[in-house]
Amino acid sequence: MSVLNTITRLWRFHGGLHVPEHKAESNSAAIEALPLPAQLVLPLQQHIGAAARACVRVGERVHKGDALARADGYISAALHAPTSGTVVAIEPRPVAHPSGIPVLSVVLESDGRDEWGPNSLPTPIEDYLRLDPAYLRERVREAGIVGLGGAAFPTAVKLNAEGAIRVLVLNAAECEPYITCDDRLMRERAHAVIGGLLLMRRALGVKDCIIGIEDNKPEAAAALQAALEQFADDAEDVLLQQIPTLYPSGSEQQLIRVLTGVEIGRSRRPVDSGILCQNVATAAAVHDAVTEGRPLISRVVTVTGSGISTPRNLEVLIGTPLSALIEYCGGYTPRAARLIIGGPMMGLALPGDDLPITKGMNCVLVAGADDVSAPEESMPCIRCGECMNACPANLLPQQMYWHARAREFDKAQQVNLFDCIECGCCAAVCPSHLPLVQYYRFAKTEIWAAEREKKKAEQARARHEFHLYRLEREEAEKAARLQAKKSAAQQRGHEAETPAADPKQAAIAAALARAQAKKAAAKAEATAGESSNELSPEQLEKLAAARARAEAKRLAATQTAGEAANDATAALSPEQLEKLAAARARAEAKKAASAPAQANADAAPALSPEQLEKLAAARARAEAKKAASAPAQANADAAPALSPEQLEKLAAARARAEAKKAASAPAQANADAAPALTPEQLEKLAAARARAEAKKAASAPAQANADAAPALSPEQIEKLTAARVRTEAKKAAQEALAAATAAVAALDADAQEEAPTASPAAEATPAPLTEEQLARLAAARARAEAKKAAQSGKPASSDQEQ
Amino acid sequence: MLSAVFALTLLALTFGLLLGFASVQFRVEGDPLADRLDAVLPQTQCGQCGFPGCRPYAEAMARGEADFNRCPPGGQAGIEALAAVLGVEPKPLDPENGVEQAAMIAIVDENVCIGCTLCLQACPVDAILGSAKHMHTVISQECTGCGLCVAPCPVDCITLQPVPATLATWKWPSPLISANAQQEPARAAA
Repeated sequence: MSVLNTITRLWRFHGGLHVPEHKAESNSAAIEALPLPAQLVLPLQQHIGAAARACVRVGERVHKGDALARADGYISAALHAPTSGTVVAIEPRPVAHPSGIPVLSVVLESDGRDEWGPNSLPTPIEDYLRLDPAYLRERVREAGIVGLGGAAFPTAVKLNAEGAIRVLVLNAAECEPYITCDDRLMRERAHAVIGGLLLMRRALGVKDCIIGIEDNKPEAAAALQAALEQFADDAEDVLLQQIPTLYPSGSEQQLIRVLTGVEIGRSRRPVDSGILCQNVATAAAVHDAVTEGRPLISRVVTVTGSGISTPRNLEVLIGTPLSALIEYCGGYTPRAARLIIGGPMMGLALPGDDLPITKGMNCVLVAGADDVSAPEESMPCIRCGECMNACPANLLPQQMYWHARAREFDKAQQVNLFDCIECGCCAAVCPSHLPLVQYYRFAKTEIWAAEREKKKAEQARARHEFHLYRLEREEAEKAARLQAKKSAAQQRGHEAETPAADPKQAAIAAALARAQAKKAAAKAEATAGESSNELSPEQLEKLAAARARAEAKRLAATQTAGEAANDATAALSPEQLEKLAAARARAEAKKAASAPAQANADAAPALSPEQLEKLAAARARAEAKKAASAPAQANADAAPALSPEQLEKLAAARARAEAKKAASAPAQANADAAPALTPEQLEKLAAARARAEAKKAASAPAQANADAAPALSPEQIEKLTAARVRTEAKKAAQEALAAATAAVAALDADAQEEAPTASPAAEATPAPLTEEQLARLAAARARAEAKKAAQSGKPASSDQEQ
Repeated sequence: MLSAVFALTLLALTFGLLLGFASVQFRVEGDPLADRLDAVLPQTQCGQCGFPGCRPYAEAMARGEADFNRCPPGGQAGIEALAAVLGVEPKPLDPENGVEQAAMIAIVDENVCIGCTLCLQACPVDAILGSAKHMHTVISQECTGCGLCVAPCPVDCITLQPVPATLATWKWPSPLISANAQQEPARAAA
């Protein structure tokens, strides 16, 4: 059932006023086109929303209908040349605004020919009621149409509410006194008005339309009725409804209330209730834009008031100066006192007539001294409550006044200041002539400004906090860089002092190298197996680095495990441990840098020196911390995807595995080859492992001594060297232990089971290596190990020489 | 007698436990007073109050170590808001900290700028854009008008200018003020 059938009676809104109409002065004469003015001023901001963006340049010649500015953003409207001519300036010009702030405007000097360009107009559409709604909306947007009832809200935006609308209301009420431009338009161009209504109905996909017209315009109503009959079937479900004349029934919310009984709630829009309101002049403009392709370049303006010689309605190009309109209407009469844009109730008094007509202006009212109440000196409020009775929005104007006056804006907001439609009824009935609406406008703009300031303060606070964070971070980065530099310098110092190799040391080194080469060859397959094809280069890189470190450590541990107990000196002091960790970090960084061949074997691109340095520094810190503090903390910064329990288990399992490995066989723990882990996780894992190893190192001080030689006494070093020599003898036996690799692998598998996020596929498929690769791998590893051994030997020997 | 003592003791214990529980369970983290004061401050981070930013000033006020009338950018309205948060009577702005003035923004004279980056470092909200030996400019939407960039500039190319009013930011004047302004000349004429 149509909504229209449910409308059986008219409703009434609260309050309202019967004000003297003064319509007769201007509604008898037909609309006349104003002669072409010499210069037009077109402000880029004539509508609600973002200002349009000029798309012409100074000096450019434009045809009538050419675009001067394009919509800039969603809620914005284009601007077109109202006549042909030359753009002489794009500069700020004063507009009809209470602030008097100049607005960027396009100044167009007409050439008098008023000719349309060859490309100015899109194709006219005859059968316009069958158009695609989306195309229709596009057409309306292109034409720069805004609400011509006064608010100047971009019409295309309103038409985008497709699907959310049940009823389209055409506002033909024109309730404000003096104004007759819509009345004349309906009388003369009723067909265009109805055509536009049907177009908008199609754009919105709505069936039901109601035209609300005040009963003081019988001629216009009759013209509309005739036009509706012309459209016949197309105009089905359009209801022409005459409503009683009562100010402000032309206000959107009040008109909807009268026609449908729907009360638009507090702080809500009519769209929320499925109702959309459009003005009759807007409808006619939409019709013209679609059927003729004509953009919005002119509008009907009422020029009236007792201060005008011959009041009438004029078809005026947008941008025409007000003075041209007044001149055409015979100029001012001696009674002229105030120039007002809009009606006497809601209009805006202007300081002068040197301002351009914009899209939203429907009336130029030149009031005589006795027409409108002069700004009499207002008296104190006597709390009579008349304003409350007159308010059509059901507000408490007196309360709002008190709060606005006292600058208690939060309280004014609490009494629904923002539901005020500024109709002026309260001020009109006020016996004390209080400028109530001005107080409300003042309060509204103050609240908006406070909100803007608050928003800006929030923004500034966020930016300042980020600023502080940034400084902190930069400080930390600087410190890290310094540290890295320092450690690099120390390392260079180590390199510089290369004493002649002790024959004993050389022999040890050579033996170590041989052993490593053998071991590497035996282990090549297992190593290859670890590097899964699914790993990314970054992951491989990290993996390789981690593996290199692990291997080095394991080697040392293996060498010393047997003798560790015998050689163990007393527990090292924290300082020693720290030094030890730092030294190790440096050594490893160097190793990683000087053994690119090994990195290649693991299919990883060589790390840059900076990366290595950073890595070493980070590692050194981590280890130092670790050695000094409790091992349980190792888990704290591990991968976020794992639960603390899982991590703990993982760490424990790994520690066990490594302990076993150190004691028995040089098998590679495969747990860290999990391809499912992200680089961050891998990094953390590596760090965690490093810490675990540091702990291990601390418990095997003999091995530690080897790396931290400068800090140790010559006796210790001697012992250590002896231990290493003895270890060489056991090499063969150790190699036999390689068979235990399987057992370690099983252990690793356990560890992975305990950590469900790690992929089980990690060590499944050992990729077979070619002979050549194996050889290269073995050689590379031998070189690396030899170098390391030499390094660890160097400081020791230097100490011994002393 | 005994029963009364017993009952009162029981009540005391019960409520004591209840309060103890509440103080643990519903404990408020942080310093809400400093937060509320910070929310009222204009966040210009200008340091005219003698503290390095709005937050430290708010914290000092919360501790009772600083007076609440030391924020010129907030002006009298800001002082009143602070007084309301602190629950004290408002007082006038301390002239030692500066004078209340309209909102400003910094403007870099781009012809004079030598690209020294000193102003970049001074800006508390990172609102100046530029790099060494390249021209700098102020992101006007982000500038708080604190003026901290003016002093470091070696060529004095930064000036503070009032924020230009636009149609969007313009405010209606109070009718009260305009009425008074109209009345005064009338009285003078009389």
